[in-house]
Amino acid sequence: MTRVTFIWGPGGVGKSHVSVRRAFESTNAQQTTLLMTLDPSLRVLDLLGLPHASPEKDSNAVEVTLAKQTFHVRRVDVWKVFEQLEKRKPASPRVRVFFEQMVRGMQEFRDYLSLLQLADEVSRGRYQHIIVDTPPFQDAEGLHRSMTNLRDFFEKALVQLAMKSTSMPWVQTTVKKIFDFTRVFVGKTASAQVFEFIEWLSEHHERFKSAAQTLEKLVFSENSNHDFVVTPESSRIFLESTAHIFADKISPTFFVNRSAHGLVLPEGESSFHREIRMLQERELKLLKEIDHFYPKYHLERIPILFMGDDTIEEMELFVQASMATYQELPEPSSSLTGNKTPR
Amino acid sequence: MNTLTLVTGKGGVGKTRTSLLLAEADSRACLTETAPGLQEEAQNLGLKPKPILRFERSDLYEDFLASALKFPPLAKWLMKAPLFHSLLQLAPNLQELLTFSKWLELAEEQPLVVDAPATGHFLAYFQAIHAARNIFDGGTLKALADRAHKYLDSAESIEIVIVALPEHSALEEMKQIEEGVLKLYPHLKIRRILNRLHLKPETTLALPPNLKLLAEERPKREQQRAQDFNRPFEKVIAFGDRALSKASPS
Repeated sequence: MTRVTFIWGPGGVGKSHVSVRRAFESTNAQQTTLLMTLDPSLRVLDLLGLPHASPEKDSNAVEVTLAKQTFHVRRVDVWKVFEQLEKRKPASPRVRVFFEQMVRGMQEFRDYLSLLQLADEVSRGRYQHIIVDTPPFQDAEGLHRSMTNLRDFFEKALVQLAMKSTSMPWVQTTVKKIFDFTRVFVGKTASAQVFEFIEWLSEHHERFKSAAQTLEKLVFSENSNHDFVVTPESSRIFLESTAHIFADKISPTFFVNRSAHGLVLPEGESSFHREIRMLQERELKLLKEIDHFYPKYHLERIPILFMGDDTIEEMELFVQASMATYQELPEPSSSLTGNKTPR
Repeated sequence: MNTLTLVTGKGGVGKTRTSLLLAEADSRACLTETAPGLQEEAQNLGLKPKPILRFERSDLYEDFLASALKFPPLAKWLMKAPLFHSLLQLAPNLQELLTFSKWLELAEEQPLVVDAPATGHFLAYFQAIHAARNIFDGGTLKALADRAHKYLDSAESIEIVIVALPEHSALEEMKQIEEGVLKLYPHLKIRRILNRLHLKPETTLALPPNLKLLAEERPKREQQRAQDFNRPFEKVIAFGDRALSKASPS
């Protein structure tokens, strides 16, 4: 069965970097691995030097070799979903326009569609391990909400009603009235467009419903891991909002990126000393906060590195970096004894 | 209208801190945010709390309905109806449109600094206004969008502050935001702030190779990147320096 690892984190902490690192580690452990990004910024693709356009073939995945490990990467492409749905039921130009507006304008709708693709990929079982790169948590909270709302949305709500309306005349009249009412807000043409779109969407009700069920099981399943990426400077707000959703259900792994833990600098009082000290103090404070919010978790640290150019060489360094890097002090140039004593 | 200042940039560049310090520089200015953060950051900085204006998504919807229908009880009832809720879910960019209109409304009263979302989500606000004007052929939403458009187009009292770090990705996103905004509203005032620039290379320490790169090479590389960026920064903040307000422009 496919194992799924979700990578969550606030903006700018290195989620995409850690996602690639996890894909590298997984491949290194002999698992066939897919790195799938749900983040509309597509930063993972940038970091790996891949184009934003998804390949024409239905498989959608691109092969990437990084530091001698080969894994697959794919982005979510909501137009692919549209095309698939359209194969079963052709859409009018008006539906197409509305779909486009929904995709552009609504995070939640995009989330529904990207989750649909993730659910498909999991049930296809082509990979032993799927790493899921999520949008920044502020937006991902909506993503999570979408997971739990997906079924509601399609079962109880409008779509269902639109379906019923074709068989029950009185419902149809009511629905029509409500849609007439929307003209007050959006005008006549747009109101007709909404109605047509919902009718089209309702044709795919079953498809959405089964995907929603797959996902609900997936998130809190024993086969899923949740990795939380933070830096020593992350705020407690992220911990608070994830704890609200996850704390009593899972034991996550916290990745402290840009850690300066255990670092011993030679005597001195430079701005560099102050920076390292600040990072260490903040990390201690953060770990206390994590203890407070999560009864059980694992901890991994990734050292602060000289980066910022987003090159492949940098990424290769990043996926293999460990805290041990710090322990190797350079040989003092005056000493010829060759006695390497780590600090 | 008073000045409406929108602070944006890539995740983690210091939007929240910048917002606080900008508001600090103007005694009349109020603050608002799209996700919690201001309160905690004000505490970290040891700032005396300024009022932070908040509004919930559901309140925005209800206010909007009440004003559109001119009958508040009906708005309250509609907000409780699941069917209507779903209908709201199907209105692309409605939340962004209503939020932006709210900012304009608040800026009528006093200068407003918004701790706005990061790149993609930020641009969605502008696209929302644009889209609403294109797809709606009448009605109250179109009227709201038209009003926002008028403000943005005149560009008189709105300014966009983009914050970046001296790193490739943050600078790229600064460019992306700037271009995205100016494509729709070419006259808008853009202010660029470069945050956390390491100024001094530390060359005297005996350090392991990785740290040596950080201490010695990082400041040079960051300054090089800032130079190569080829667009002037209104303000450069050195790493560890909190005093943005000192050099705040008129």
